Amino acid sequence: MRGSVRQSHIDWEPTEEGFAKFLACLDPDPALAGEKYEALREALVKFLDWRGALFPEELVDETFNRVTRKLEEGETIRDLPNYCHGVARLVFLQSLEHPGNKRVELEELSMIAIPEPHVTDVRRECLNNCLRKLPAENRELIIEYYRKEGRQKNDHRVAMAERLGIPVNALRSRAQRIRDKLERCVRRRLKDHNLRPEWKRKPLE
Amino acid sequence: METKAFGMISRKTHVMKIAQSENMIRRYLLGELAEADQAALEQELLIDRGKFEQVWAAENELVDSYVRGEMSRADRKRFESHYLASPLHRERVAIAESFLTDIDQSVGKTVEVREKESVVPWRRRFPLGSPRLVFRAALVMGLLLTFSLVWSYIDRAKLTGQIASVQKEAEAERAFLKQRERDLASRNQEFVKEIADMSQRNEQLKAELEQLRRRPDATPTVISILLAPAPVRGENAPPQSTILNSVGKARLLMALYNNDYANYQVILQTVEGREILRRRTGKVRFGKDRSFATLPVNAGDFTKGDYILILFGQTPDGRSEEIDRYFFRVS
Repeated sequence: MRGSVRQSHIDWEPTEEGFAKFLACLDPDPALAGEKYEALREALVKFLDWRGALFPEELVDETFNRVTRKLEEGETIRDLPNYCHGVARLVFLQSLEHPGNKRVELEELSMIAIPEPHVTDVRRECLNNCLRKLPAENRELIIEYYRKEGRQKNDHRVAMAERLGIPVNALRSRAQRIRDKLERCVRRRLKDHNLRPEWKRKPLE
Repeated sequence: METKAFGMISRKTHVMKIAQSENMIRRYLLGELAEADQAALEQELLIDRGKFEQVWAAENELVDSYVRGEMSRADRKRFESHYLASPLHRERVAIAESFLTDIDQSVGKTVEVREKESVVPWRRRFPLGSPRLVFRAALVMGLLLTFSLVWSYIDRAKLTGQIASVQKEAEAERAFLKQRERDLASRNQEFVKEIADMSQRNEQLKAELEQLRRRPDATPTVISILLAPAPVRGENAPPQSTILNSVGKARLLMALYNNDYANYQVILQTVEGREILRRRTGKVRFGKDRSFATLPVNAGDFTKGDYILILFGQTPDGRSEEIDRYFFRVS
């Protein structure tokens, strides 16, 4: 957890039984419960991401751990997604207490870090590698989807959806998922290169 | 008229709602919502998967318009002060910048005129240097501006043509649909008439059926009575045939032995010699060898008493020959 949340929760891991209880709370049907779990996790990760959390996925893991623990202790939770949402907000606020998780405004940032050209090159290389790793149809789809800009963009996407025989919303959702996958891949590769983003290079005073 | 007005108002309300929702999402992503509103929106997004996707798309749009320099100055400031305060978001923007730059370069779109000088992202900010460079840049910008104006004029003309063509197609489609509607209405009328006819016929058949049901003797029983010919002198007389006049319809059968006449005729008379009827009669065949002359009668019409039936055959030259005489009693 990178020390971003309360110490008391670090050592505790949910049991299999606890996790089963958590899933059963989402839906009695295990297959549906699995789907709902994935959807809830994705939504909470994005909420914390939009709120500016540094490690939203880890915060959501911590959220689920806390809720599972409550269930194991015998607490009855009626609306699990809403309950998790409340806990996630709390976990996020607690994470902000940690100095490493403080937000830094751009103006302030430009005073402490200067973008280095080679980071951009490495990022581009990682991006190209990740693009190559994508299945051909996904690669073509995302490149085509973002090809046009400005006023032409919408017409282009509508035409593309028509060509693929799917609604525009479905195309948008598909492009979002591929973009997200691509972004995760680039971040992972940057980490492998031991290259943290340039604004983290100098410690905050 | 009222419906049309109501439709327009409802459409307007719908458009306003969409605009409000989009504005709310934008403010959420730019950190302008109060905590309570943020939480309420997130709770809504937990339930409405479509709206969640919409917010995600709006985020991507914000990032892209920032990277491509399509954002207004005010939005850019808000974006930088809130969204880019997160390291994760800065990394996202940097990745998007790499990605979109590659794509834009690959389609040969390297330069595009931006009306607002201030919309260049922070990564692209650079000093212009000497006044000569400024002059050159201004010249290039001027040329590009002229080019873009001409281009937009051509684009507009093209668009007007396209709109006219779409309108024409829509008009043709409307006419086709109207004709189709008329055809369907006419077919519908035919169907209605057909249904009415069938229903009338159905009623008639029902009435007939009802009538038949009410008549228990609808299919009357016809009794066939074989008459024995009168004996020739010296023969023993066979028992005389008796017909009850209560039997109703009956068919009198007269056996024909080796008689092959073209036509047959019968004369019915009382034993006193009063002729009751004279009629041509038919011939029926039973099996291979047996044939009979027949006379349908209504026994009820006979008064009780003895009767003589004389059977004649007509020869090919038109003469009538007596074949046999039959005696029977009606009681």
